[in-house]
Amino acid sequence: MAQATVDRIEGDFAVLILCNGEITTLTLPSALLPDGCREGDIVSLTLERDPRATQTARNRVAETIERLQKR
Amino acid sequence: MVQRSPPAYHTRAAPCACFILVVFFCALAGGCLDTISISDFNRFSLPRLTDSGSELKAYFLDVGQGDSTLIMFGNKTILIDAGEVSQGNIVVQKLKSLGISRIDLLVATHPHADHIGGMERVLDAFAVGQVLDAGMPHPSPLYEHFLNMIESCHIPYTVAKQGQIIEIDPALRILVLFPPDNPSIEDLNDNSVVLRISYGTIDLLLTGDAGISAEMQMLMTGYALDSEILKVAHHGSSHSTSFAFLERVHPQVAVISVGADNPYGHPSDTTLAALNTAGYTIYRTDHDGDIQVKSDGMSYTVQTARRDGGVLIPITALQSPTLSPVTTRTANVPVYEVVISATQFNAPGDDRENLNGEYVRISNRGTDAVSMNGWTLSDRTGSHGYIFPAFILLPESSVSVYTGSGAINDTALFMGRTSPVWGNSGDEAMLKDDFGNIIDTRSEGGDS
Repeated sequence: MAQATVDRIEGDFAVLILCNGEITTLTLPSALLPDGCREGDIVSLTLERDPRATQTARNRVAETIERLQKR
Repeated sequence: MVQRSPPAYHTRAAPCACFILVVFFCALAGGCLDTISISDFNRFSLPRLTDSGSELKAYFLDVGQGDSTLIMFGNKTILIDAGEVSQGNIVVQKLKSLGISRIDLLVATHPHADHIGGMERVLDAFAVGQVLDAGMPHPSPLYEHFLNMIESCHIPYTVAKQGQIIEIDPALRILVLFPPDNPSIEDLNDNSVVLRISYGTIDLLLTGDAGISAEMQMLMTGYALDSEILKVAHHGSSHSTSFAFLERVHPQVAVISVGADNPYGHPSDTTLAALNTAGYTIYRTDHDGDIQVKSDGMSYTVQTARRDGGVLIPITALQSPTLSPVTTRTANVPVYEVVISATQFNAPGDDRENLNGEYVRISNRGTDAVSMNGWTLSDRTGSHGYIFPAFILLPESSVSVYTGSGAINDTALFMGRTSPVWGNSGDEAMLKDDFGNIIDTRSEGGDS
C-alpha cells in the first residue's frame, strides 16, 4: 500500500509527497483528506477499481454517441 | 495534478566537501522573549560601514512556485531555501553562473517541499559550511533525506532560535527573529526561520512562510522590524502580511517569490492590495524573473531579469480586491475581549454621499493581540457581510470599519461598498470570529 506524507495544506489543496524510489508530488483537493488530517500526517493511499462505475460511464458515453449519430 | 521529479534517493558516491566552520552563532543571554530587551543589542558592536567597502547582493531567484534567496557579501554566501525538487538543478546553475563554489550558510526556513526540495542538488554541488534549520520534526521523505545528507556530510547543524546573531562578516548583522525558543504551535509555516539582515542603514527582512500568528509574536517582541526590503511571506498568501506587521516593517520594496498560474491563488488579492495601498514597489519572480537587490550600506538598487536596466515599474494596483474566506482554522477558540465599542449607522448628511460616515468601531480590550483574519461583520438582515482581511488588532486598540472605500491602515478598514449598509431606522451589527462564533453585537436606533 502506497504511503504519502501530507507536506502542506494550501487552502483548498493538499500537497502530498509519495516516495516509491522516486519522489512524486501529488496535489489533491484538501476535501479528499480523511477527517482530522493535518500537515505532517502520513496517509495510506488505496486505489480501487470500480467496475460498476466504469460500466455505467461507458454505457452513458456509448448512448451519447448513438444519440449524436441519430440526429 | 501529478508532478514527477527525477530519482532522488540514489547513493551518494562523491564524498561531500565539508570545511571548517566560518560561521559562528551567538545566542543572546537567556534567549527567550521576556529576558531580552532591545538594549541587549548594545553588547554587540554595531557594524561599521567603513570596515568593508563590500557590496551586499540579494538575489531572489525565480524558482517557479517556491522560494530560494541568495545573499552574497564579500566572498561570503548564504542560501536561504532551494525551491522544489524540480528546481534544484536550476538553483545550482544560477549559483554557479554567479561564480559560487561554496555556501557558507544554508538556511532551510521550514521543511515544506517548495522550500527544501532542491536542497539535495545544492548539497551535491556545493561545499556547505553550516546549516540553519527550523528544527521541526516533519516526517517528509524529502526533509528526512536532507537531514541525512547533512549528517553524512558532517555539516554543522543549528536550530534557529529568536535572538541568535549570525556573525558572517563584521560589517553585516544578521538577526534571527523567529522561531521563538518554545514554539507555541506546531504549524510549519508559523515556525519559519525569519532573518533580518542589516548592512549599514539598509535592512532586509526574509520571512519564509511565516503566517499571521508568527507576525503577531514578532510584533510583541519589541525587536526592530523596519526594513527597506521585505521578502513577502508565503508567496503573498492571504494567511500572511497583516496590516499591523506591514506597518511595522514599512518597506519600500516588497518582493514576492511565486510561480505563475499556481493552483493556490498566490499571491492573494488582499496581500497585493495591502502592498499597493501602502505604495510599496512590488517585485514578483513570476513577472520579473530573478530579482537582484544591491546595496552599499547607504542606498540600494533593484534590478530584475525582465525589466530593462532595473527601471522600477510598479505592478498595476488592484483597485477592488475580492476578499476570500479563510479556510485554515486553529484548533482552540480563544476567549476574545473584543467588542463593538461604537457604531454610527446614520451618516451625517445624505448616507449615499457620505458612505464613510457610516462605521462600526471594534475595540480590543484584552491584553493579547487578536488576528481578525476571516472574521465577519454583518447587519440585521445577515446580508451585507464583510470579511476581515489579514488584520491584527493590537491590545488597547480600535479599528473602524467604514462602509465606503479608502486606504486601509491600523485603525481603518473599508467595506468597499457603493451604497449604504446600515439601516438609519435602527440596525444591529454582529461580529463573528472565523469559526462563526458571535463575538459581540450592538444595536443602534429603532426599537431594539
